[in-house]
Amino acid sequence: MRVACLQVPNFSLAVCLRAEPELRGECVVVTDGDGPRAPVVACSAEAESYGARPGLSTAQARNIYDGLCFRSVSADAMRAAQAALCDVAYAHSPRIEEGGPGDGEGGSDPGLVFLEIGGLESLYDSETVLVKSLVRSANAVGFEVAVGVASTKVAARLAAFNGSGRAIIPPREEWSFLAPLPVAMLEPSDQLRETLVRWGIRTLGDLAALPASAVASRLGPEGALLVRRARGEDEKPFVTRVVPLAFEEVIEVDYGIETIEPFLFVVRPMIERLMTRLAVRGLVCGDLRLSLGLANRGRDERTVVVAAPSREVKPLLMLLRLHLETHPPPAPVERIVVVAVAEQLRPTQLDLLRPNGPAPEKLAVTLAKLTALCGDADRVGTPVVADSHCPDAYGVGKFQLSNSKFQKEEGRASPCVALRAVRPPSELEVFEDRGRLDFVRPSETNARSALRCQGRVVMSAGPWRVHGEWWKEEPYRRDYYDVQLSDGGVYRLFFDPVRTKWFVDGYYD
Amino acid sequence: MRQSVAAIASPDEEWVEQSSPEPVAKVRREQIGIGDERSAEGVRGFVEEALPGQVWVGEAPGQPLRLLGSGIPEIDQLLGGGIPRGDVSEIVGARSTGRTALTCALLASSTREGELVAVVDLPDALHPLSLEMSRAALERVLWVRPPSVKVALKSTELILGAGGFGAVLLDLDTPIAPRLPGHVWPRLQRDARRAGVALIVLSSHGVTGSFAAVRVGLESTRVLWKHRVFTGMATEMKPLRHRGVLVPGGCMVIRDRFSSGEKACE
Repeated sequence: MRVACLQVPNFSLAVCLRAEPELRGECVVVTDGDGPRAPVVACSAEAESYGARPGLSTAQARNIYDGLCFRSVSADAMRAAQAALCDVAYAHSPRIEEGGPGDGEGGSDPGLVFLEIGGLESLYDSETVLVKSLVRSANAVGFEVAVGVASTKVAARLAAFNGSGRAIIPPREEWSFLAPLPVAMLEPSDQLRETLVRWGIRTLGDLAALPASAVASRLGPEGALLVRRARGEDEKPFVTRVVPLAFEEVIEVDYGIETIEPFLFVVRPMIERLMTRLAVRGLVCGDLRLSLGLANRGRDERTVVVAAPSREVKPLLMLLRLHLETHPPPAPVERIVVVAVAEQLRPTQLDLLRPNGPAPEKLAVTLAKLTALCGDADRVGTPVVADSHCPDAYGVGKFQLSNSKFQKEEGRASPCVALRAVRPPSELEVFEDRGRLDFVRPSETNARSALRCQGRVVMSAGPWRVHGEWWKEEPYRRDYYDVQLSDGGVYRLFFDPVRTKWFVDGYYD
Repeated sequence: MRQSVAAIASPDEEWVEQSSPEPVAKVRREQIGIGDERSAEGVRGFVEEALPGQVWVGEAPGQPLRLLGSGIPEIDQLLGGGIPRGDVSEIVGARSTGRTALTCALLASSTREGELVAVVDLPDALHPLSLEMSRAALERVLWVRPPSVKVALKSTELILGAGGFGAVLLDLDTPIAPRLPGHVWPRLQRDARRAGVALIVLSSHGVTGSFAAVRVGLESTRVLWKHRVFTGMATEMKPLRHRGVLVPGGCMVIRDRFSSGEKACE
């Protein structure tokens, strides 16, 4: 078995820098919570140069240097970052495991993922190519990772930890790699470390040479475990974890966002990160789900429907903007969770008999842009004949390239009259003379109607009564007429006996 | 700079160079007194309007003209085979003259060939059942209902840019005539040429100017009633402008198949 270890050093700091890349090179101190007593959990190298270090309280760190930049990382952000790291691993191998041999009681080490890479020879020429691909993908999602490859998880992790970023231990050469490493790399407890120093045990080779049973009887289970690790033996077998299709990014802001521009400024990098994660997994974004934490302790959940799955940030942001402008949140936003619903871009099998259509990816982007332009997913789609007897019923379906087998339709067609719909039906006044329709004009309430349906009735046919949907709150009941007016148009009018009003809902053309 | 030639279409559709366009261009410039870059389009429009169907000014076509037919012999005969692909065609007329029936027939024919078509429906007037009755495959129709003229034009440009569509209908027949910027049509014409798409513009009056390769006007001659039931309409198709394709025009009868009185008529 060959195992690769993907490790993000100083994970909480990396999560912070991933969210705010402009902080790279600055004196950043990451704290576990807010307030002066919150402990420092990570520091950038620049901050450490001023004396800041993990373990100090925020107040103590502030006294060291005024230029330190303090950030706290929420558990949600850590979880989202860990998911992004898992995406990188899962994009390369279907067998991945979070955490590692150092995990405690069922927990996992954040920023650490193992992946089994046996059997990937057909996809990657060599392990070096695989490692380069892993590093490249991790960089794309915003992480600088260390990668180690070995035959066991322990050895792979030590290789990643010690190999200055990338290290590959060839099979059956683990021992020669591990033996000279210092014992401190196994991170023993302080008491155990003192004992080993007193015994003169300084390297893993020295520790591995000791009989495990003798060490266990003197140092207890921790000592035995340490010996096994020094020998490069895994404590637990590789347990594959199925990575759920969950793409979520979280951010908490210090002050409530009230207007759309700052909101989009904050959301844009989140969507960019989500799209990168989707790209790494070879997926596209379906709908976008927003969960907004509000300043009044409320929560605003909403779904932005995307007509065609896409990974283009710009149209998605435009959709988001249109949605929020139409339905603004009731209070300032303090916490933003963006979830991208992942979808697979279905491959289209080209048909010899069918003309070339647009490329699926390009069509998806075009549909997303069209939806953003039109402002509503319902305005872009494919026309659907509604399953209803109501004459003005219609539907809009999702437009997608069909994979169904195409058969060229033969047979003779003939010209037939089409109806041009008037949506919504325009109210009319209809005058009758001796029981016959005589004159039509827009109603007084509708006098400024752009559709000038007005004139003397030249010929009319009807009525045809249509009624249905009695099970609904507003069933329809209409008397339809076909009317030719003096302006030359042939209109379809109906009289609604419930409202006692006339309407035009289309004309023949 | 592209060299323009004046050519006369011979009966067997070959393009024969006859003379330099300069004399015509001079006359036009003197008449209209324009010296800017729009004068070239003005000259072209002037010559084509003066000699409809006989003279075509512009670059001689390097490829055979591809036509989008309606699949209905009566209509194709009137259109001279169909409307050109990769160019702008315009259908104009008042209400109840059969404009929509004609466009539906063209779109349906394209979908029956397995192509995708798009309808940019500014007035939100598309009736899916009508399109289906024209034997169109609705699953191959992209229906866009833009909220404004600007969005409609932008949407058309996006669809043409995506490529792969057989025909695009830009329906601008709104009750209030939209105001269109002048630079729209050269851009759409260029995109249609690049994508090889038949761009059909439907309006109540001509909006494309000299950028339409074909413009047909429809006039209702008679509304057909039988036993006081609406059964169709007789329409006359008039070629208002044609470039590269000869549109003979003539009369056609469009039958009703789904109006309220259909069943009663049967």
